[in-house]
Amino acid sequence: MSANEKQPLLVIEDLWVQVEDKTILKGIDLTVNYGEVHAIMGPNGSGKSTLANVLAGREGYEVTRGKVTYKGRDLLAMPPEERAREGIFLAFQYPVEIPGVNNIYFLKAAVNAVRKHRGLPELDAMDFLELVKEKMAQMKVREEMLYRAVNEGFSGGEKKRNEILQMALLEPTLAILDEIDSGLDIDALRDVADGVNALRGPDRSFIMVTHYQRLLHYIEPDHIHVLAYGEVIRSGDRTLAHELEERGYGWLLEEAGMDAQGAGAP
Amino acid sequence: MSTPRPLQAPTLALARAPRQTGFPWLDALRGRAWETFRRVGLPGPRLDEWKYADTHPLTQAELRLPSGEMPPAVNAQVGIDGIDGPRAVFLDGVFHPGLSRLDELPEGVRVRPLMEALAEDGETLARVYGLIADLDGADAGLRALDLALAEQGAVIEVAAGTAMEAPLSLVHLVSDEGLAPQWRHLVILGEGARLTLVEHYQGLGTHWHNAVTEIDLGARAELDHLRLYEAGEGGVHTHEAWVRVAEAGRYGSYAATAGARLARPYTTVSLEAPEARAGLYGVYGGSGRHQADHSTRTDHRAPRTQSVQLFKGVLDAGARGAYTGRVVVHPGAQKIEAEQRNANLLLSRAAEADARPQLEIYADDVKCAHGAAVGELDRDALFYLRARGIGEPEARAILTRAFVEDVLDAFPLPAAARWARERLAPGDNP
Repeated sequence: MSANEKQPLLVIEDLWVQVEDKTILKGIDLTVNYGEVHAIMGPNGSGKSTLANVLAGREGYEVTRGKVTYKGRDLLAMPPEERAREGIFLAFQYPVEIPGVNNIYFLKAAVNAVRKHRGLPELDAMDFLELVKEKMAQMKVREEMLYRAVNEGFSGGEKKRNEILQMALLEPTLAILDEIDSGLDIDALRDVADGVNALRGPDRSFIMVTHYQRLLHYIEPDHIHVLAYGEVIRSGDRTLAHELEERGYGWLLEEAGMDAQGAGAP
Repeated sequence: MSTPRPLQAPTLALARAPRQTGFPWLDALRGRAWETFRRVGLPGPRLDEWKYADTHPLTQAELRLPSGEMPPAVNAQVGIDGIDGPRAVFLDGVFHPGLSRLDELPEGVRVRPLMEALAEDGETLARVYGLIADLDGADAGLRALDLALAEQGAVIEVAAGTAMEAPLSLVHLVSDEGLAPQWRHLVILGEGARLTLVEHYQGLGTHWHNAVTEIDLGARAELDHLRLYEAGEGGVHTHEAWVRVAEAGRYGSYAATAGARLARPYTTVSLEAPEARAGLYGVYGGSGRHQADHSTRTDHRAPRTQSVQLFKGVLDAGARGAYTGRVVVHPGAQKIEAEQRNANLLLSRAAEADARPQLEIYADDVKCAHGAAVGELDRDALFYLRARGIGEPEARAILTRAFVEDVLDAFPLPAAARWARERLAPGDNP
């Protein structure tokens, strides 16, 4: 059960990504070891969400150079469902509303797809209900949300709680949280952060993408990377967060030889 | 007036003049129907009403009328899982008492084979039979042929004030290659009567079900009419339901077509007195050479009448689905409400959907709305499901089922909704 200590969980090497002929990521390098929490920060339009989506396998992103190795395998060759079954979980910035699909039905289908892949028996309706209720209590998700259509009519906070509930049910190895803090009031933010922190452990890693330092008060990262115009312009430990809080991103851009429009970037 | 399509060999073999029944009123009616059929011929895309229904297969296939002899029981499932209750089963074109369950009908409910009822109650039934489905119009060919030749079907009567709780089923199964049974059903509900009627049409191989159901609903009577059609690429199902609704009566139609070379459930409802209502729902699906054409005509002839229509199609490569909904608001029919909605999900670029909501309004104080949409599966939703480990085929099936769910929600029998869901988007059900 213990993680492979010798091999990093995720290695991103010189990753270049294009969306509709526009280059968004320009040579990203990042290594995530088991048990680590990485925060990817940066101004709007820096490519943070692109990175999250590329790792999860969303279509519409063209990798023009570089490679991504996950558990020693070529991640980019895997379809999104295989990545999910192998333990990658993307908490969506904008969780998708799916009218006509019951949340509980969706959750059960997801859990059983992943269990099946891991060689575990599929859960029947009763066992699943027991599991989901336990996780809901932990995540402070109201039971009524189980019987509504997936994310339909959910408030911003309910959608994010539903994402964290899914994460708790699917027990990922690598969770990618894309702006999990956006649109949350302080109570919801605390609950979501508690949910994430409860899942931290030596065999599970996190990549948190966020625009604001606020989230880092609730979920303390081991490493912080600042992304601007598609490049990592600074990496550091959690003390970097305090510096950013005081000084903003401007000084880092200047040091990287970029102006606010990204000119000077290669 | 358009030129009738000349009858080609297979159709000619089928369309022999009606035999004499020995009842003068009936023979006269059948004779008139035969003349109409000879005059207008088979309908086809040359007619606006049949623009999206290709009757070509009817002229190509070797089709014959049933012999009238009782076939042996078949080794196929008869009826639909979960739909119990009384039923009349018609096997290879003939009423089959052994497979039917009609001996425990509640008091006030009568179900008789067509010719038996016409023989016993000709005088009364002659005032209705063959008169609700009129023979006017260039599109009358199939119902005229049906009236001329049909000798099988059911006459269903529910007495005033009687509510039958269990659904009553009419099951039509063709297991013999090339059969082309002609069905005629008559449903009469007295004042305040209530009934759930299931018509199920099934067939194996090349066959043609041609059916007409005439329905007369008394004041405050309510009929829920489920219509389930199931065939492969060799089957043609054409079925017209003609409905009259009296004051404050309600008619609900729930049609599901899955497969078939051509499935064309046509519904025409006349809301004849104030507060009469109709709800018309339909789902259709297919792939390959499947073709579905759900057409309706709703006449608002009185004030404060209401109609709601919701039709959805799920079409894969090669399939074609069409919805045509004509709503006519007659002079003086004020304060009516009419709503029509049609949406289609194309699972392939090689699928085709046609939507035609048509409104004719001759009154000035009315509420009418219509909408039509054609789209593909939502890519974001598909990715969301896959990002949770759900494989692409299952994710597509989940979203497809979700697409038709609001129509199936309207189906009064869960077993019928399940039947349709399994055929439109196979997979685990919620």
